[in-house]
Amino acid sequence: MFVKDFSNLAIETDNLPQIDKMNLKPIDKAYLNVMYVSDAFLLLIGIVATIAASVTWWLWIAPIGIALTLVIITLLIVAQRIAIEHFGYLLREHDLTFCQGVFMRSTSTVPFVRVQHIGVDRGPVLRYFGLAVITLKTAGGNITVRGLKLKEANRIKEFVLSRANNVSDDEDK
Amino acid sequence: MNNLNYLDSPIRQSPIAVVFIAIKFFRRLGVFNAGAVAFALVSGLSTQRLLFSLTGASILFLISLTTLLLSWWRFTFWVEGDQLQVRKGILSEQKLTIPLDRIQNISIDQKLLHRPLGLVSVNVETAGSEEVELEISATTLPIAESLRQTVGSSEHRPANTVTSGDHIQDSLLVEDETVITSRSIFDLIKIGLGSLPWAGLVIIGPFADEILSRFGIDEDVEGIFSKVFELSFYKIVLIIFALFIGATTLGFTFQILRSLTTNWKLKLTYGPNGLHRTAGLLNKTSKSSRPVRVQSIVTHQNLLQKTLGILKISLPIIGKGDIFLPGSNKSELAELRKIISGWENAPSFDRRISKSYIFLKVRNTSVIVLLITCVIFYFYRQPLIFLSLLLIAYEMFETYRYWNKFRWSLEPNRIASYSEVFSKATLEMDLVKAQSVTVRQSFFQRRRSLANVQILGAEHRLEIPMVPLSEANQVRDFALYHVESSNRPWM
Repeated sequence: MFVKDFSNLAIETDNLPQIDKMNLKPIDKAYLNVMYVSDAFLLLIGIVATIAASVTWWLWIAPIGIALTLVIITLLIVAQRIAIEHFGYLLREHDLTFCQGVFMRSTSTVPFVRVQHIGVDRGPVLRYFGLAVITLKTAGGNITVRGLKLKEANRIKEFVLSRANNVSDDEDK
Repeated sequence: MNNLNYLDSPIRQSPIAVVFIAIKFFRRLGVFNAGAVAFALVSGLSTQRLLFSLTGASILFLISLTTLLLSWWRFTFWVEGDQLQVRKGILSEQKLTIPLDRIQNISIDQKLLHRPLGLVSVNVETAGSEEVELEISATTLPIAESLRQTVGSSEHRPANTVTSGDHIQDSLLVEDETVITSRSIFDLIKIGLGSLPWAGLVIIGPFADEILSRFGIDEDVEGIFSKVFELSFYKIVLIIFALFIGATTLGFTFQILRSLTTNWKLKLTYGPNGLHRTAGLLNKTSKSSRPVRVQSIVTHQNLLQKTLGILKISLPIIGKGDIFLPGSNKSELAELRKIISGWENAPSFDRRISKSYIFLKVRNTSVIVLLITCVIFYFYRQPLIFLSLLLIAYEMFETYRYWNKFRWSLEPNRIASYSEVFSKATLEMDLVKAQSVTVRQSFFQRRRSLANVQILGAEHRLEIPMVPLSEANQVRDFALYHVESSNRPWM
């Protein structure tokens, strides 16, 4: 074993600034719409696949397949509605925290001084709903805050840029 | 001190570099593929077609040779102020500017082919991209060494001091560098003995038939197996024992030879130019970096190494320049700690993880093993199949041992973890090197109010499983506080 002669200075952890779960800001509920769009695509794929299968093999596949697709989509929507309640972010003076997960709950924090790269992502669907996804990249581990209003995302980006030096940003890739 | 005069005007690689680039190019192309194509062209073709394809091949050859020569001619590098400049490209000119203080590591290699020509190859890496930024295939040692020294001393270089180039060989040696580690032949043999002997034997596999025929045995391996099982139990045991001894001896010999060639004259020095590691008998390698670039201190020690009293230290650096030190000991570790992060002591390793870890880890394995066993038993009514349940017992033992031995500690500036099942591993990390912190809680952990805390560095992750949530949050807050309040550089 290793030597035990060490100095174990007391660490006043109680006085340290803490990440308070109560202060977490929920993400924009409009993000649910973005999820619904992807669900709609899934529904479309399911229906097309079912029709194709029933035409090539047996007709009785059609009702079962469509019912199965509907059940899966319904479950997905319920899961997404629950999941979005658990999304939350917290912007502090020196770092950004993002919480997610229903079963496996994770809270990731990135200090601005370690940020190498900021990305604001706006796909066509996101743009339609006036939303953006912001990603803070470091040399080890990234965090992605989904479902922010565009203005809010840009404000966060500006804030992070002002706090961290030598950061590259690429907008609207 | 400074050898800038070597680098203050654009220099080309040594002309021999063309040959090395060509070799590398053909290696990437696949020598065998090229050979196969050539063979297919030559055999089974009419004379006319053969001539035609030969002409085509020679034209291709000429074109690639011209390209190679041109790219060699156009490739120049030099140092301008605090920046390393590279100019390359045949038709369109590419100019690369690398600030010297952004360079993560420099490796200088002398491959077997370089040796008779007295040349070296140099790789320069920064944190910016995955690839090696500057790859010099062949240049002279003085140029490579002066590049290394220029980069190493770029932070505390007195302005405008240029010494004459004649002193370069002396200045290489006169550096006030302290030798941290150096390995004698005896140490190298120890390193070889400390490596697992079976690992090297895998390469014999494909040649097994060949080797057997050399000994006058014309059977293939399967035939021998079927013959062996006709022998008596006593003889089988004897044969297996003899094979075991033979293979182990052979394995150890391999490992010792490998250790002797790769770690020959292994030396780590520390001086004004940073850390510098040199080693190698046939292919000589040299790696340099600065202590601040080292992201953490990792040690490994397997059972063989424990018996021999040695351990392996790795110093991860962003990119491919990790410094490995096999056959180290605790005093070297202590010295490296002092140099890299200024730590005076070993970590205290005074905290443990929750016992619930055993249940959580064993549960999944048990369910899977039970299910598979039951399915197999359904098809083959062999009671012996239930011996597989021993796997669960083993998993329990292993997890218990892991949980029981796992230690971690949090001190100002440092977080460290220690794990041991059969081989030991430690990881010490300066909190300043943390990039992001994550606290995770599964459903299982939430009911017991436990959590995993993960600190991601640039080159590794440090994960502490199954600690009380309040403690995990404490670690998170403490690490963040350190990163955000400190001005110390992390790379």
